[in-house]
Amino acid sequence: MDADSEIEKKKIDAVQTIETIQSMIDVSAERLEGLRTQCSTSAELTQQEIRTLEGKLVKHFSQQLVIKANLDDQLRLKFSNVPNLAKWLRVVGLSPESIEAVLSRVSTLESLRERSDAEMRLILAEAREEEVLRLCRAMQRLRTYMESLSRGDANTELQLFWDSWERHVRASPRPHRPRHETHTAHIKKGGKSPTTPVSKRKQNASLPPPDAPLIKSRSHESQLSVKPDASDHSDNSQSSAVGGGSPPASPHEPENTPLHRPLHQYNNHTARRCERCPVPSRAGGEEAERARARAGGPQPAPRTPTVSRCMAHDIAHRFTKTFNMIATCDYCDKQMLFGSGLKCKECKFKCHRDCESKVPPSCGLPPEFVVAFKEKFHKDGGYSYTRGAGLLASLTGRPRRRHRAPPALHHAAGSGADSSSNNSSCNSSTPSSPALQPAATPQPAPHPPHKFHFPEVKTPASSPNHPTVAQSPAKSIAEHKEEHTNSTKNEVTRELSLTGSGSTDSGGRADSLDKHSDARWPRQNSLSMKEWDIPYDDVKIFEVIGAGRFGTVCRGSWHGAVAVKLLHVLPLSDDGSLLDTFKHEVSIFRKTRHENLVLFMGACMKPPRLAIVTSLCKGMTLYTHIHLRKDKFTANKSVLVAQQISQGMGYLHARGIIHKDLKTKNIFLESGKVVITDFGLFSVTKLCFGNNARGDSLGIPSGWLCYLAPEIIRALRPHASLLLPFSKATDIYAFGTVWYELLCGEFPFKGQPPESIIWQVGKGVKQSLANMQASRDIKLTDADEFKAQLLDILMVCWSYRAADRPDFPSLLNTLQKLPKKRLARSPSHPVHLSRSADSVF
Amino acid sequence: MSKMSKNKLNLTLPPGSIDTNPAATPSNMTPQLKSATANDRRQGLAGKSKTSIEALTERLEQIEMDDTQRRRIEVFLCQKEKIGELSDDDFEKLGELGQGNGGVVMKVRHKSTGLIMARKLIHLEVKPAIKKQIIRELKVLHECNFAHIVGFYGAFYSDGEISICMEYMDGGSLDLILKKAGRIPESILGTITSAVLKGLSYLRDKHAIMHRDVKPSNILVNSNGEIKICDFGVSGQLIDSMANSFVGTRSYMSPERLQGTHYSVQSDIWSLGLSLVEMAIGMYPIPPPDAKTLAAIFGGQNEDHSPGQAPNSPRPMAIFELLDYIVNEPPPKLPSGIFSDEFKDFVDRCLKKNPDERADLKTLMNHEWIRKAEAEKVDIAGWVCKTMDLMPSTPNSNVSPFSS
Repeated sequence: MDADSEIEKKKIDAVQTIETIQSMIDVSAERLEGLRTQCSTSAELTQQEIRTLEGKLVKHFSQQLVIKANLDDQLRLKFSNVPNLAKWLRVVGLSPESIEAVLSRVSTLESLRERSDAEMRLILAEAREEEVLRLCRAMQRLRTYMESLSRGDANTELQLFWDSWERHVRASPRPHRPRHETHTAHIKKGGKSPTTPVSKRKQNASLPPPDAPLIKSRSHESQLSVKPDASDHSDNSQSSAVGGGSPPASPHEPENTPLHRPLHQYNNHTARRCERCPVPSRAGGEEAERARARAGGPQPAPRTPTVSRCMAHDIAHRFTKTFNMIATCDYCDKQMLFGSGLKCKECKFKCHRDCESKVPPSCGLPPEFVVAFKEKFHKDGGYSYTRGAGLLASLTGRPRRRHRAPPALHHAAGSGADSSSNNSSCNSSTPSSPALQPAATPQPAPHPPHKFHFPEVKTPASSPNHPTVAQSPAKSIAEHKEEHTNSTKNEVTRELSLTGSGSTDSGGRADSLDKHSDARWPRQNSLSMKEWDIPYDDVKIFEVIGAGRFGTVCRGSWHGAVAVKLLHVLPLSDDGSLLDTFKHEVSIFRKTRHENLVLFMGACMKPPRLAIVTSLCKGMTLYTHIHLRKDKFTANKSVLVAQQISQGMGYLHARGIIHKDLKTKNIFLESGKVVITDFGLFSVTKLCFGNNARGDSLGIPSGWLCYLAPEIIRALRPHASLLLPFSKATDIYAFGTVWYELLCGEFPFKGQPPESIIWQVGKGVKQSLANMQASRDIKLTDADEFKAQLLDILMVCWSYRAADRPDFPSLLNTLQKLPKKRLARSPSHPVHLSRSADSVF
Repeated sequence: MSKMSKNKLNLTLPPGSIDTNPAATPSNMTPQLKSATANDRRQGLAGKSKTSIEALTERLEQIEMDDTQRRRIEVFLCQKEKIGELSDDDFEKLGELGQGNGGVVMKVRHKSTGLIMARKLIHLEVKPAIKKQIIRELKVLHECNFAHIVGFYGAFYSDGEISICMEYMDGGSLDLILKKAGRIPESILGTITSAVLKGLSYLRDKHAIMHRDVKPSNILVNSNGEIKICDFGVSGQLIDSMANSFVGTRSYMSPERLQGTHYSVQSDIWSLGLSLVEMAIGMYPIPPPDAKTLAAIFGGQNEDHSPGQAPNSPRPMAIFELLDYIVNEPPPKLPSGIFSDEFKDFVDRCLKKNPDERADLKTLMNHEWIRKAEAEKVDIAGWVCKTMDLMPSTPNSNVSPFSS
């Protein structure tokens, strides 16, 4: 009986798991569909999101397959339609006709899985080449992941995406550029040697060798094509062939790839091109060789990694000046005096400024290897430092990118034009920023695009392909990028470039990028994050002082009193993505310094122990004041509080950070001073919280809805969604609600059920203000004019259209201009702004 | 505020007029309704119109409760007497019954008496004063003893959670049954509706409370063939204090309530009507199924497939979209040619978007469809058992009466 019930229980578990997974598939598939169809797939953010989802879906489908395979026959029968083949095909990105075609021949995903690529091609005879490739790729991913599942190492990092967005229609042509089809074609061929491994990245080892070389290779390239991060280094043959680094910013090129575009874009482009119209590889190969020759590369390195002379380590340090260091130079072992040294932000390698140029690109190399590396490096001739930083060197030197260089990678030091890359600017650029240079900065292009004329991008023959120890020539690369970004993505966030974009980014975009990079290069992250990583055991944790939906807040001690936010990591949650998101949040936190923002001190980043350590807010939250203690806020005090909130929020926005969860519970009042907390944490909370939601309903924390702008309300779906359209304008709306609470002492739509609030807000119905006086004896009645002004602020913040809402600086301005006595204002605001701008540019 | 509610209660009959208070503005009426506890209302009721109401309810009770039902309630009260104050230690967990709004419902055994109960746990982090208020407000439930109201054993607070202990209904809720059965036959629905109407009348007439959350998952059945409603809004404070609420793919809320305007018992009627359509056709009727879907449901008569999860259902609507559909699109109705005209008419009268046009409780109780259903003796017990029997082992089997 016990055994029976045990089996029964297992069965039920399995069934439930399958159903749970199914619901996750449904959610993800829907989001994926939405991204493909409703978002601009040329946006990097969208692409990253799509990839994440693709990877997730592959996992889900694989898990279902595995679980189902272990079920008994009866149950398997019940789940004959699980995983749903049609769904899978939609997920893959096939057209309805193609889906129909597949469904007419194959009935289950299991049987489709058995088909070879050729067979699938046959099935999809009618379909576009792109679809065939997509299907082949996706099936390949599925097999790969299932294999790793069966090996039990499902946690290894695999690339499971297949880039399912439509790429054949490209907007954003760059009209002035000449068309050089031949080049594009041949380079591509050159790069696309059949032996090109899927990637040279870490997970390589665990990836089964591609079984369908041609397709594989293509798919790889197409990943490259759209995966700028990856494309930097992942394909050696490509990069070494021409020696350009591709500015990852514009993954989607127009059909006409101009000649002067840096290399990867060629590759990318052609790869894509090839999908549609395969070019005879021969000719392509020849062309590639010529190109290479022209570019100065003596040996075409068609198949790769010609690695080797330098122990395959090639990661430039990221030096910054240090002023407070009296230490020994790690290079020459001599004493360094105060202020004379440099220190790598990432691996803490220290050296004299004079030694800097001699230091091999050994960033991240364990100390015991450094010496050997150094010797070998110099024996081999190293590379000429005078050559300056080429594109790739810059790439490798760029924050966050440089660790990605796979060990076997050889970059050509690129065009001499860049050798002037500007050290000082590098030094001042924020080192460990998650900074998506690529994604940011639309700005008038500083140079004419011709600068990157293809022939100029040469592969120095003699070079063992090491980039110089460029001190993070971030700027030069950024410039390159800007050009390309410009032409393709003019729409991208103007404010970013204005406000020092480089180092900041709106949560969403950075988020997805980071997610990817982190997932693939965990080591890198652990390095760059090191200084913020607080070992969990170092933190003393005392009593619980609060609980949010993401976890518990405790009072703690770490070099003094701190607040520790312990994140609930539920077993169900996808640890990988949670951790990535978390790390991203951390990277946002550490760049914020403002009097009205909580001070971030560090984080514990070893799952399952995820915690954020901040300074301890001493006061109470506005929520406590207003709703629990029912403290009265005079209009004057309300204005004062609102001003400080505007200052803090204005700073956040200027840094490109969207709070996403501004509410009175996240605003502390420390003897009159406002401290805003929990900014940017929403994605994490959402992840945790999402698991809390029941199958077909969205959990709504009390008091959450009335902070949500109409556009978010309208986007709410029964499944917790990570894709809510938060923006600066939605923060403004939330501020409006805070302002209402300050004035009225209660929540808008108080006592109404969530559904009513959703309908009304979504419809543009605002909380009636008729009862404002009645609800609270605000001292307004005597000054109608004043009152009207206060209400105006409310109404404009609550504007239905996001575009009609003001920004924080103008709100602050309005608040400061209110009659009554002049209010003391915090001096921090302008100072911080200018400082932040300085540090970025 | 209280003046208004007294006024309203004064109207008593016909019940539909409860909400007619022209002076009330939407924005201040809503909180009032929420916070108006049953106590206030009852006092108002007792004070003002005692005789007529009492006469009515007594008569109702005489008519509506037969001997079996009375005996069962007596038995229940006897058992309850032995229990006394409840606390966390008194229970032994037997399994999870489901997720109610804002909390989990566990099947538990009361250790000392061996009674099986349903314990609803609602996570709350509130100040002691609020806790006490909630427990006090919930005490009203002790007085709700009626054949069609789920029995209440008691409520207590422990460890951040309010526990509400109720009578265990082994058949589970109608939404679970619906999932298993696919659809619920019209004859069964007639009997169920009759019971629900009686339950709602009882709550309103005897305790002056409206349900506020009528939906299939709040109608429970058991293997004795009893039909009872649960989860009605007795405690305004509880509703206000709940940390989370869940909004899903289905909403049973009436258009007037969604719009934030004044609402009344008539709102429950809408919810009932919508629930009936859902249970009759086996899927949530908003947006309405197209002809093809209906043909699939009723044409093939393939009983084994649960239409609850339509295989090729379109991508779910955003929550706002769904709610806006309820407010602005024509109300759902039963497909023609499948159900009796009386049933169709009954549903149409419930699903009038204008609450004033909607039939009231009394009218509905006298509706031909209900009278027909009452005349015809339907074997609910047999149906419940048969339905549960059909699916002996499913993921949700712990809800079935056979798992205990």
